[in-house]
Formats: sequence, C-alpha cells, structure tokens
Amino acid sequence: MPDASFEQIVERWYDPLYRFALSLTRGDSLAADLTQDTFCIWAERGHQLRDNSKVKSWLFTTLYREFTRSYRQAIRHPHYGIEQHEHELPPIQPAQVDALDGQTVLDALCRVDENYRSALTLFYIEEHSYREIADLLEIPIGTVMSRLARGKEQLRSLLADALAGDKRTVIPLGKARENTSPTS
Amino acid sequence: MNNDEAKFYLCACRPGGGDADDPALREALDQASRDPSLRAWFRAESELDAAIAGRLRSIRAPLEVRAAVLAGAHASRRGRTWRWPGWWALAAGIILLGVLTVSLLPKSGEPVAVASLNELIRLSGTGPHVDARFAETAGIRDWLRSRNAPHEFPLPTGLAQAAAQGCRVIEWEGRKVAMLCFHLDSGEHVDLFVIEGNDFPVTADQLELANMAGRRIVAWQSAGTTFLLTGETYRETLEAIRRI
Repeated sequence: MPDASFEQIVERWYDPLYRFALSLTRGDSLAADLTQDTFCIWAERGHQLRDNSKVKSWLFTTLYREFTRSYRQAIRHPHYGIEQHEHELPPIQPAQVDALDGQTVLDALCRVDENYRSALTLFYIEEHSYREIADLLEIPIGTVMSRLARGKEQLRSLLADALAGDKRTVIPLGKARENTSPTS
Repeated sequence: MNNDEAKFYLCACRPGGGDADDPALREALDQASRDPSLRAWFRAESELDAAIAGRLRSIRAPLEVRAAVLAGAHASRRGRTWRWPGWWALAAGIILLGVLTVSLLPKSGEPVAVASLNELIRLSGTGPHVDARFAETAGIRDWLRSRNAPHEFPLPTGLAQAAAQGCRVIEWEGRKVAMLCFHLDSGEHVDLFVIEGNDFPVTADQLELANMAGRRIVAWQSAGTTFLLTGETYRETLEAIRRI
C-alpha cells in the first residue's frame, strides 16, 4: 500500500480508534499503545483487505481483538457498583451535555459497566450501527440492543451526577451485589 | 408492539438517521411517527445521543500518537518487505505444483475445472455474506440439513474453537455448496466451503491454490467431501487450521 494511502487511513481513523481504545483501557498510555498496535497490524496485513468499505470495521475489530488478547489481562479495572436510584432521574437536556467537556463525558462513559461500555462506545464513536456492533463484538443483535438500552441508562445516570457537581458514590461491587439486585 | 418495546428498539437507532431503512427498526420508527408521545421521547433521545456523541468526538488523540503510528508502520513495512522474496517463491512453488497436478494427473468422473473455483469464490462475494446467522455450529448444521446442503462433515478442530458467524448455501456447478463463516481469535475472517464429492484433481488428500481472487485458499479432501478454506489472511494461518 502506498505511503499516502496509509497516511490517509491513519489521518481518518486514528482519532476514533484512540477514543475507542481510551474507553476500553481508561488510560492514555495504554490507549496510545493499543492504537499504535492496531495500525502496525494494518501496515502488515491491511494490503490483504480488498474491499475499502471494510477498513473501518477491520480497524475497530482488530483493535478490540488486540484489547481482549493482550491488554485486558493487564488492566485491573476497579469495579463500580452503580447505586440504584429510588426515584426517576431528572431528564438531561442536550444543552447541558454540550456544556460539559469531552473528558467529563468520557469519564462517565468509562464508569459504565464493562458489559455495556464497548457497545455504547462504538454506538457513539463514528456511529456504528447495531448490526456493525454485533459483528465487531461477536454478540447477537438482541444482546447489542439490550446493552445499548441499559448502557444508556447508566451513562445518563452518571452524567446527571456530573451535572449535579457531585461524584457518584462508589461502593465495591461485592457490596453492591449484596445490597442491590443485579442490573443485567 | 407497545411503546416500551418500541423504545427498546429505538435505543439502537443512531441519532443521524442512518437506520431509517433498517427493516428490524422500521416498525418502531413507524410507531414513533404515529404516536406523539413516543415521537417526542425519540426526538429527545436522539438529540441527547447526538450531544453525547459530539462531546466524545471532541476528544483528540495526542499528536505524538499519530507520529508514533506512522513511524511504527514504516518499521513494520520494512520488515514485511524483507520477507517478500520468500513469499513470492513460496507462492510460485504452490502455483507450479497446482499446474502440474492439474495437467499431469489422471482424473476420475466429471472433474470440476479448477478455474471454476474462481466462479465459486466470486459467487460467495455476491449478495449478503450469509443467509443465516448462528453463533453455534450445531445451528448451522441444522440449517444446512433443512436445505439439503452438506451438513455432516468433520469440522477442523481449528475452526471448532473459532466464533461461528453464520452460513449460506451456494448453487455451483449443479450442486449445493455449504459456506460457513468464522471469526478467528486473531480477528481475521475465514470462510469454509464444503462440497459434496471429490472429483477435484488432487494427488493425495490435499490441493493447494494460491491467492485466488485476492484470497488465500487451502483445499483438501476427506471422506468424499472437498473442503476449501479461504480468507484474506496468511496461508500459514489456513494451513494451521486445517492441520489442527
């Protein structure tokens, strides 16, 4: 593949891939490594992909697989229990989200349960369709829909807290399970 | 479909309207267009989704990441260039072996022209990639059996561990060919074609073709069945799957 073509692909996709990596790893340096690994694999094997329309899914799939293969074990995610709200949360307005900075929204996204976070991130980053997400994560379409619905609930709950200026009370997952019913 | 069910589906709709033609979401979208309360809910959801997506898109990768990506890729390509002569020699050897095999060995029955394999590969690239999606090979076998396509065959152990994606049946040379799709742990996608009959010109139990239609292909025969394993991946990967 000519250098210019490779650079065009890097130019187009390194930001979205980095964001996806950031949501998976929750760390700048690991996200950078994961993004770089993905493009190195592309540099070595990308020439085998004949259909240019599949570059996006190829890159995101490769990044996700590299994460599950090499990085997930190394990351010790703190497990958060999300408190159950006894009352319905006040609706969040788009203008309120616009007033937040990107990092605050990303921080909230990173606190969403890991089961839902990957699907939710792909949904918001580059607007992957639910079918693309199912292919990429290799899960049934119904599961994607369920994860999107539940993930959005969690994200909005966390954003509501961010807007209220307080930090969600974080309790260990084990204790959360003792005190609350499972959310999934 | 009640409004709660519709909301479940509408949660999967992208805010940009990119799913308006999705048949699985069509009913929920139609309902939202008819029901004022659901329409208001969906509009608010879409606007909020768009706002969240916009905030996330504002995050940019550090500039040094881009520089490192480009530098690392150059290094990877240099390594690949160094290996190319060996690949070419290997590919040339395989092609020569295939040509000799096809032209010199006696054939039995009505042999399928090797060139027509191109047609099979081409057919597999038309229409939806799979007719039915299954995560388990048991479901694939049942589906193939219901369509009188090959379904009782030994699956290479290397694929038994892979994630099944689905299957389709292709009409080719007057016979039904089963095509099974898998994702490997490496992230690569491979297709396994299962053809009843062994009227391919082969020397022993294996026929190898190289780089057909942009894909690597490994073929072998077992118990009266011909198998083609293809993918845009290294031939060694396919060989390893076949050998396992």
